Amino acid sequence: MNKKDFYVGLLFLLLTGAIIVLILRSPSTQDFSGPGPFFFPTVAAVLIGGLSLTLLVKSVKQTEAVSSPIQGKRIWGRTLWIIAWCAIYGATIEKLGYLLSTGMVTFALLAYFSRGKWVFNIVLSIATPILIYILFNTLLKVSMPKGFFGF
Amino acid sequence: MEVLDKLLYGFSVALSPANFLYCLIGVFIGTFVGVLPGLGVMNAVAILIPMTFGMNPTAAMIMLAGIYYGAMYGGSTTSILINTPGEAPAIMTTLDGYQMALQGRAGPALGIAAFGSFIAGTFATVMLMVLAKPLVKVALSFGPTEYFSMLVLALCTLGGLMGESVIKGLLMAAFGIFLGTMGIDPVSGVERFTFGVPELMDGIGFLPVAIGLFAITEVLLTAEQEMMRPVVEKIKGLLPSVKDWMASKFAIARGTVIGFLIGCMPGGGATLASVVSYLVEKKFSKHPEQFGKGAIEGVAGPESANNAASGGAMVPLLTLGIPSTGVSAILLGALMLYGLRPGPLLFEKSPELVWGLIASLYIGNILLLIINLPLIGIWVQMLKIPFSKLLAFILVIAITGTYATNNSVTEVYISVIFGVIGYFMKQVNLPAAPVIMGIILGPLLETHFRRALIISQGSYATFFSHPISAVFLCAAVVSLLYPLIRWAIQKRKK
Repeated sequence: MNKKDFYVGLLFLLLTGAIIVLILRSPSTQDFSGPGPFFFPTVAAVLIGGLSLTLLVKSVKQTEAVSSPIQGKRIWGRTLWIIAWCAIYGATIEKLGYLLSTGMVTFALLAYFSRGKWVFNIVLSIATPILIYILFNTLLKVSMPKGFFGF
Repeated sequence: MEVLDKLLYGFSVALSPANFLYCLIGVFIGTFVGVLPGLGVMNAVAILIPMTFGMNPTAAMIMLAGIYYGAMYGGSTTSILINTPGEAPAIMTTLDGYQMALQGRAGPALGIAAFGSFIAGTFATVMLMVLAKPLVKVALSFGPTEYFSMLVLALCTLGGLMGESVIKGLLMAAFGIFLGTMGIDPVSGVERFTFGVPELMDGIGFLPVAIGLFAITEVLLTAEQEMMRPVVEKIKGLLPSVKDWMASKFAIARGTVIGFLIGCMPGGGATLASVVSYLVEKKFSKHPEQFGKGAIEGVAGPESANNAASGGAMVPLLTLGIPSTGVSAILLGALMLYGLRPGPLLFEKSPELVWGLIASLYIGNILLLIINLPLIGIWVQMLKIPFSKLLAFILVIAITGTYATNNSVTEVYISVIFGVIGYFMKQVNLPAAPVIMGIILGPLLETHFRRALIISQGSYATFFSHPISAVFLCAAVVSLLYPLIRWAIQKRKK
């Protein structure tokens, strides 16, 4: 059995079930000549369900091992560090302001991935938000959040 | 004559100082992206779309298209010098290009790749001009019925061809279509799957999803591996000799035609074009045993093919509003974000954009020849930049771009969530491009479907009573059944 495909099929079957439950709970609005607003989501759900079921059945029949796209040793800590700082970035971008939050996130990532080079990391953590701010705010006229401190 | 007049008008647009500068920036970024393994062209285009919001759409499209074909040029450099394709379409170039480099012929390999790409890119642009008018004429006669069926065909072929498994490709396309239905229904005003979140009323935008699935996923995948940088040799004599030209001329010609035709087809793409070109060259060669050992035709053919394919992808995108590759799907989404309606009407309503873009393709090809050959030393130096230094910059730019689109923190979270989803999708070999196709084409599909039914007063027979629509739907069914037919034929042969 191809376990990866089996679990993918199962996950999308569950998603199909969830979509159908949400559709059934929605108010009926068949008030014009064509199909209603939930017709297309239903078609999409049926397609997802049918295809995931096919994948599930196929995975049970498969015997060969499936290789991972990642070669060599995995370093999970790095993945988790990036995801955590992405979430922190989202949480702080409006509260701390663009410059401060971007500088903080840049430094946190550089400090982890480019350890020991403190001067380089600090210079880049200051320069990166300023450069991107100038690019977006000044050149492209896209307003960036100012936060508590007014910058 | 009419086409020439329009082309001259296009040149007047593309050669304006601002547009010329954006073209230069686009091809430069494209080459940079192509040179750096791990930073794909789809990531780059998705990340840079928010930066184009302050620009006029013509300049923005000129820059984004420049990134697209610039990456095709740049991808060959790493294939030849370090045996690692910067972009997937350059994978075939590693086979003979790297062997040529080991034999001290990296210069001619890079040279023929650049000249072949230039010839192919120029041919594709000429063909785009030639084919545009008749295709637009046909497309203008299409109603919602034909458009719906054409989109079904595009989704079936694209969803099925992107990735290793047809089922997984289609599953991802269906998932994308579902995501595209979220938000307020434009016909009835009913909320669909918004869970009371006001930011979801407008639906899930393709950009946060694209940035998550491509840029953030790529950063996560690359970060968890130790990046090793190989030593790069010095390069001498970039101009191919007469003997090299004689050996490559038919390979370039064949690669150009193959690449253009495959590029026009939904699901074709530059990678398929370069693979087919390589196989054709090996078949036509008097010395097939030389392939894989440093045959210059093995570089010239695929490199010409992948550039012609990116030009070919512009044909259905501009004339029909149908993307034939993942990158052209993102370009289609960008056009829609600029408030333009891709398709035949684009030629009538936005001639400045269309003809300016076409003229910029000529200019971009010349610029690429200039920046790829004399500046090869700079690109070689860029190969030495560790990904750990770029990682923080790419991530910050990606998230800033997501936020800047609508000044929405929710969209930042959507990007991060899809970055994580994309990471797990890679672990189980689920392709990301069909999801984006589904999100972009899904709402169009639904709109045309409902319009067609309103016109036909609820009769589903309308999709089969219109001949063109019936042909498209039959072709869609055949494309879905093709793997089954091929399997049956192979079984019978055995």
